[in-house]
Amino acid sequence: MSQESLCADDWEIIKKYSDMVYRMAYSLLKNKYDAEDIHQEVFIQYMRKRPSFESIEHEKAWFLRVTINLCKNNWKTAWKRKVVSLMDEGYEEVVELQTDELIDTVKQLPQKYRMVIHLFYYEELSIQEIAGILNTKPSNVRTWLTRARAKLKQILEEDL
Amino acid sequence: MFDDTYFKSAYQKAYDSITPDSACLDRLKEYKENRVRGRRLYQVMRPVVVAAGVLVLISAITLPVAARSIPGVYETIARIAPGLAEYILPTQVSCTSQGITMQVEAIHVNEKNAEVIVSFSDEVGSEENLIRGAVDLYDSYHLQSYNASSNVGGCSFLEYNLEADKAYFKIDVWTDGSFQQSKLSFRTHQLLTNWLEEKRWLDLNELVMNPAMKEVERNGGGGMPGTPLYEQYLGDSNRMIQVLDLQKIDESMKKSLTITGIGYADGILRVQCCRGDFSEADRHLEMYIIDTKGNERHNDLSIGWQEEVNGERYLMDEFLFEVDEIDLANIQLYGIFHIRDGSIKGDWEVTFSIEN
Repeated sequence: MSQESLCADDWEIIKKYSDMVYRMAYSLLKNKYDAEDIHQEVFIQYMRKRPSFESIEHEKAWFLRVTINLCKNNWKTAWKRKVVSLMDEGYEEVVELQTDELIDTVKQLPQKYRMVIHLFYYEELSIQEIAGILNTKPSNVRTWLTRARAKLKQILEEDL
Repeated sequence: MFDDTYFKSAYQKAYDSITPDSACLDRLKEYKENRVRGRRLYQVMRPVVVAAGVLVLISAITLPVAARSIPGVYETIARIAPGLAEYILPTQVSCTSQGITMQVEAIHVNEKNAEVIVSFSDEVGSEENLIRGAVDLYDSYHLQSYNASSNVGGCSFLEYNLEADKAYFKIDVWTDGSFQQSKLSFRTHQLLTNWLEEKRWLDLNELVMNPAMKEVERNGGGGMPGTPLYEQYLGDSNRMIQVLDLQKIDESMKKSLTITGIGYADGILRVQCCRGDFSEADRHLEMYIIDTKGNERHNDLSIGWQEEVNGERYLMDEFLFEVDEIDLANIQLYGIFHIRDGSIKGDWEVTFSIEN
């Protein structure tokens, strides 16, 4: 672990992982408002718990893991599902970012697949690292990636 | 298969533009500065908080019945009082649907990790033999943790036990904190009950020299970036490529993994397969050759595309090996056929406690 990180103030850590946490949350929750909520919640948890990290990798994995957990908790409530369904019925354009067409395509994948796609292709984590964050076997991550690619391929072709 | 290089670049470019508003960071800054003030406020309000807690506790005595019977009650309580929701969540360790029973068999809790064993078996009294070997959940499962600090992990197949006539899975859950009063729900809605994983030798006598080729539009592929073969087939934006044209793809291949041609031209040995319809099954092939020195190696490149047969899409793969023509007579070729089908759709869900 670098000395820079060991001595870093809360604020430096927040700035360092702000974009990463927000992008991860956005990839899972698919809208700006929920991603902002999660972004706040992750760093509030960090400031409350003040976890100690063994390495930069551990630090990054902690933020990704907490983001993913909070996204899952966020999505599971009936209240959230109601909010999401309202957005789907016409308010979406108000809260959606103007993003690339590719992101809209990836959004059609199930949450689990979006998760591995983002960790693998954006965060450039290895299969082993993703398995560590999701606490599953590397073979499972490999399977999810394979199936995510197949589904993505199918969606892209159906859109043509 | 998938065009990794293209996708990665496009995905990264798209996501680089997604950043939080500066207001997000401003709010965090404000929160950080107000934390001390917030603690003081809590101390002043403490009697009110305690009184509210007592009221919630009294309600909790009657709430389990409501939570069990009224859909959405649990979710509402989870939102306003997570600790209480933890208490009222009903436990169900067995569930039967479509003649198949899912059962929680064992729970082992370590300090930061819990392992849960669940089984799938034919419903007691059922004469159907639906569970008779390895089972794949086809990624249809969902884990839900009711402990905010828990990390919902994954689920993997363990084994089929002939004596018990059950297929066993292991669920791994990790936590940042502890598992005190933590409950977990596991649900799934699709099982693939036929699972074949078989090594088959391919007959090189069927190899066609200088075979007929056709042009298809690739939609995936894999290989080693930087190699000439990779650059030729996957390295540029041209998605139209040449593949074997030795056998017509037809409906008989819909539910199977079929070798549709083996050909050789220009120093490249090609093996083509049809994976059929992908919606209800997972079929794929791993290809290997054993060269003249006895070395075993994986294909140098793979290409994927789709063929349309009577309005339905079938997945196709072609595997390419660089082989000198002089060595063709002395190599061996085999594939590992992975076939998981026999889809059964249902609704299985269990909820259980995990505690240190």
